[in-house]
Amino acid sequence: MELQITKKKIEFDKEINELDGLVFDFVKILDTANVRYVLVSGYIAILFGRSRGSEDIDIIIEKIDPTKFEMLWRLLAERFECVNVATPKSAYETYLLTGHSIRFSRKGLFVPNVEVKLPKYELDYWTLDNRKQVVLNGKDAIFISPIELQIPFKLSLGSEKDIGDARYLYDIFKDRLDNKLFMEFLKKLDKEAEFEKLLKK
Amino acid sequence: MKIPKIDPEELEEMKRNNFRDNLDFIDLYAEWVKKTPNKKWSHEQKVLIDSQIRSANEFRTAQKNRKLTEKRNI
Repeated sequence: MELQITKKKIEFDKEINELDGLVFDFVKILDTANVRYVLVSGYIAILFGRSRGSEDIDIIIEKIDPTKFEMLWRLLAERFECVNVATPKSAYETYLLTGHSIRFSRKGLFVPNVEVKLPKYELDYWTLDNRKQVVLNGKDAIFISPIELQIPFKLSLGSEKDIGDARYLYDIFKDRLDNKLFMEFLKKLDKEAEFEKLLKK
Repeated sequence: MKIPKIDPEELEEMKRNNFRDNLDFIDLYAEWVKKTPNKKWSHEQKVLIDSQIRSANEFRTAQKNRKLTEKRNI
C-alpha cells in the first residue's frame, strides 16, 4: 500500500468500489451546496482497504438553517432518494434537529445508503473542525475524521466489527499516527486498557 | 434428531476463540495490504464489496417481486 501522508492530507490511488463511488457522488453534492461534512466510523476502515461490506456510510454535516437544508434536499433529490423520510420539512425538524439521522440511497436501491446526522456532541464538532482531507487517484477529495480519533472511538463502540475496524486501522497507521493526539483520545474515551489488550501486540 | 448438550462455558470459549481468530486474520490481511500494490488490493476489495452490494439488492428485488406475485394471486 502506497500512502502519502502529510499533516494536512492523505493521498493514495485505488480502484474505486461501489461504496467509494457512492461517497464521491454524495459529497460532490455537499460541496456544491457548500455544506461542510466529515465521514466517520466504518467507512474509514473500508476506504483504506478493510475487506468488508457495509450497508451505510456515516456522515456528519454542519448545522445549517432550514432554507439551506431545503436547497440541499433538492440537489440530493436529483440523484438520490431519502429512504426513511418523505419531506425536507420532516427530515429537518423531526429527524435532524432531534438528533436522528436521515438516509439517502441511489434511486431505486435501498443499500448501501448514506446516513446523515447533524453534530450533537462535542466530539462531533471537534471532528468537523479537524477533518482530514483524503485525495484519491489525484482527483477525488473527501474529508474524514482523523484516524487518531477513529481508532479509540471504534474501541469505545465495542462490537466485534468495531474492534476489528480499530485493529485494522491501527495495523495500517501505527507508525504514522500523531501519538500524542492518539494517546489523548484513548485517555479521554477511557480506552487505554482495551488498546493494550486488543490492539497493541 | 438428537440435540447435543451445550455447555455455556464451552460456548463462551468458542466465542473467545472465534474473536481471537478473526483479529489474527485482520492482522494477516493488513500486513498483506501494506506490502501489496494499491492496484491489486483495491481490485480484490472492489470485487468483494461490489458483489455484496449486488447480492443485497438482487435479494431485495426478488423479495419485492415475490410479494407482487403473491398479491396478484390473491
